[in-house]
Amino acid sequence: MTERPVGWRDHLVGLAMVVVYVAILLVTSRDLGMTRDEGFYVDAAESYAGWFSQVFRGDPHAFEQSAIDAAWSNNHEHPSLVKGLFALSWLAQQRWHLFPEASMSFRFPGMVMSALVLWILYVFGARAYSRRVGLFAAVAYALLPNAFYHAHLDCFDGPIVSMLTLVTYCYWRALSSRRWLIALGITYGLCLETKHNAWMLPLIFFAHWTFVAGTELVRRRRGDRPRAKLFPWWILAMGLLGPPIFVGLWPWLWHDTQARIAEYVGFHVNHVHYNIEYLGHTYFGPPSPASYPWVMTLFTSPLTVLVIAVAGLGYRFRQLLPPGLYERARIAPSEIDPRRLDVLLFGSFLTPMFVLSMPWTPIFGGTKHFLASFPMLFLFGGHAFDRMTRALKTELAAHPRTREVAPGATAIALSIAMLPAAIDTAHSHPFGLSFYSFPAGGVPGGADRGMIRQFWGFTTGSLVPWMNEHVPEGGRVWICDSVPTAFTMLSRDHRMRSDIGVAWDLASADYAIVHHEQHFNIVDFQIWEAYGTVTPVYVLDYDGVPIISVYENPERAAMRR
Amino acid sequence: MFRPLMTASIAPPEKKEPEPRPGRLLLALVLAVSFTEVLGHAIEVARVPTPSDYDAAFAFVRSEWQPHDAIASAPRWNDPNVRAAAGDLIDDRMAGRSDLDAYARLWQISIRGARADDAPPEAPELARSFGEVRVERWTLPPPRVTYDFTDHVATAHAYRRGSDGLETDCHLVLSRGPAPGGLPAGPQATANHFDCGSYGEPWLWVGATVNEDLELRPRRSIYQHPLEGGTISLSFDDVPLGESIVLYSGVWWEFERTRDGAPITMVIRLDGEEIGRGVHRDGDGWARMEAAIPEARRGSHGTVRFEVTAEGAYHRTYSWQASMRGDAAAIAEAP
Repeated sequence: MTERPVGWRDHLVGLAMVVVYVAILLVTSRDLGMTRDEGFYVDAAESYAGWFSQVFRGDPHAFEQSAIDAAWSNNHEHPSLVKGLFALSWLAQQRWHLFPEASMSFRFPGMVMSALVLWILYVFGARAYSRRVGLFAAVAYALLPNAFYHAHLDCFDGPIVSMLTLVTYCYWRALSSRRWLIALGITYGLCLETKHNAWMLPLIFFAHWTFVAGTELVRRRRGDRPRAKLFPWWILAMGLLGPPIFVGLWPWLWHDTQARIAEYVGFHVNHVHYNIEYLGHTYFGPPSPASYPWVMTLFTSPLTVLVIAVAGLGYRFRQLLPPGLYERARIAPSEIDPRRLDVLLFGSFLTPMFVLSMPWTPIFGGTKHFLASFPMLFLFGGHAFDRMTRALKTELAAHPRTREVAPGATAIALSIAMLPAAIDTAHSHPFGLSFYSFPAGGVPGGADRGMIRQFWGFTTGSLVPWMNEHVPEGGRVWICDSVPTAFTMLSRDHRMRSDIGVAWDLASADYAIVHHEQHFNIVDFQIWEAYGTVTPVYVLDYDGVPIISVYENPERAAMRR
Repeated sequence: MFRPLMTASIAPPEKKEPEPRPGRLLLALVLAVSFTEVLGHAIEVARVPTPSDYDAAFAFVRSEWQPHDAIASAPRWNDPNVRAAAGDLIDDRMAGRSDLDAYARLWQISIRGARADDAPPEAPELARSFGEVRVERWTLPPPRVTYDFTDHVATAHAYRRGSDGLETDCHLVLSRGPAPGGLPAGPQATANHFDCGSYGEPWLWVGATVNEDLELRPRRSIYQHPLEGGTISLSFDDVPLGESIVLYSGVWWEFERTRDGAPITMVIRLDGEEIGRGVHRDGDGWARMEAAIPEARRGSHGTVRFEVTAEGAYHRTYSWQASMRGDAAAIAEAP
């Protein structure tokens, strides 16, 4: 397989996509309340920011274990790169007031890192196959409603998708260039430092390498000239550069390194199973349903894009055959790919889905734990998009009345392919995780099928207009699944009145809210008994589906009157 | 200089025209799917009921409302919207009912063509649509509930008998007690509950609550956590006796779903004589049992006592809902 030239104009296109996407994320983030996990990472970032300030001041004690532990023990179950960027962004905000909202300053690094995948995808597709392939993959991922949601957050799920895709790209390039081995090692270190999903990569690459080596051996046995080295240099690059970067960028690992790495690994290997509702059943632990990632993909993705992606997989099926069969599968010798890129992409697509299909894997994260599959899937989809675009161009050119628009076939095809995705993504905001696509029957269809309505309590942000209007001065709200940091961020952002506070129990609250998730039903019933009523004063709906119920505490209301 | 690990030639990007047949088929397929998806989205959004649909529906229901009417939401996930619109028509008795035997008519408030689990199978006697909200009504068999024990829990007597065999009164608590709320808190006590715990046993209370059953449904019931090595009892005096006592019971979902708790035994006594016994095992869900009132006693009054025991009481957040059933008119006429 041949590489295609990618020039500065292509990088400009990629950069433009990132800039536009980040701009959209910034504008739309003002509608989005903070999630539970964002609240934890804000706490961590503020803690780390304190340490950075110590370093910037030149405090000689900053690198002592006591100073490092005081700052970096906070949320040490995740590495520091992304949270460190949140912290630096927060420091910049304090100094220069770059953003109109505090939450935006924490979220901004996550937005940029999440958006980078568009650039990587475009260049990856353009270099490996064609610009149309890259374009389709980037736009399809940008308009994936759940990816769009996660790209807003000061979390790691968007950034790790970019990092996994980048490392995969570097690995592919490194198969034919020693210069890229260094890039591979560096990016893998950064990927390890982003989130533990990076642990999967060596396994994927090793499986892929067996295809590369096998294909090469078959070729050589047939007397063809060598086209690939059999030694896996990439292992050396990742092994030599990755771990030092991982440890070097994470201050918490600078002392008691071995024990702390063991603690970090142990946390994720033995991760607790949080709840998730799926097809009417709330799962709290293994065995998880094998169908989970597949059905979630079907129910949360735009159908048109999925159809194109599956068609693309079909078109490229022959490229996935194992060595021996591959060379005989009616593939032209000029198209035989010594680097077996399709196998790499397919493995990178399949692995997160496969891991999430395992009965022992916690599935509590909705789609976020296998978001990294989508860029790879959409690169396959790019082939189908390329074909349909060429067919459209031919059809348009064949008719006198449409001949003039034939040069715009790519734009027309992209509009046809992406219109439903654009509508879905726009419609999904700001409810993000509550969104279900056409195959599920939309949001109400998702509710009919017993799919998770939400998690992380982020929809509290959508209650702000109601709270500003109805909560009495100095009033308190019992916030259910929201965490105080996330809730108070609404006032730090000047969205919610600053006098509205958190109530720690139902009795002292003026209002109590219930996030409608199946396992929170008991909270609804607790409020019925505590307040003596089953009647919410307000129900926040999304396409008619209850997201949050608000109850008024009659005792507090009577005291006010 | 770096030496390439693998040969990868740079080739010109453009090739291949015109497009073969599969490309045209794919184009047609994508066009059709894209159009269907956009249309489907528009239809889904258009089918969402508006607040005025609910207002109109409940204006009609209120105009026709009678005592002993009940409301069911369909689909079940729409219940918050229905409760918000229904206002005082729905109370915790109705929302947490175990069956429809206390009601004379059922109103179903439905959207999306859904049907409530407890709606009768036959066609409704009345059906009206208000925008996207549909109102249907059925007349049910005559109500057979003559006495709901949950309604009388505040005038009952609760007892704790420890492993030493000594029985002591549980004292009535007039206040609601703490209401922390949240997942770990479990079923919430109301005012007028009995405190049967000694120091460090806050779970040992008896009183009305809304528990969450194995299907995560609300069940208005009497919370009666068993005592390790003993018995917790609740006794009702001067109960008008009908034909039978129907009792539903279960454990809070949080602890029943794990299916590793000890079985719970419920014994029903009428004036000291055992008339019913049931064992609730994890996985049974909100299970029904029936204890017949001896024929000679029907129409009279008696003391009914509910005794709860378990071999292991840990996490046995048990509650039950019981009512006397019979011919309501006959019991009303009894001396």
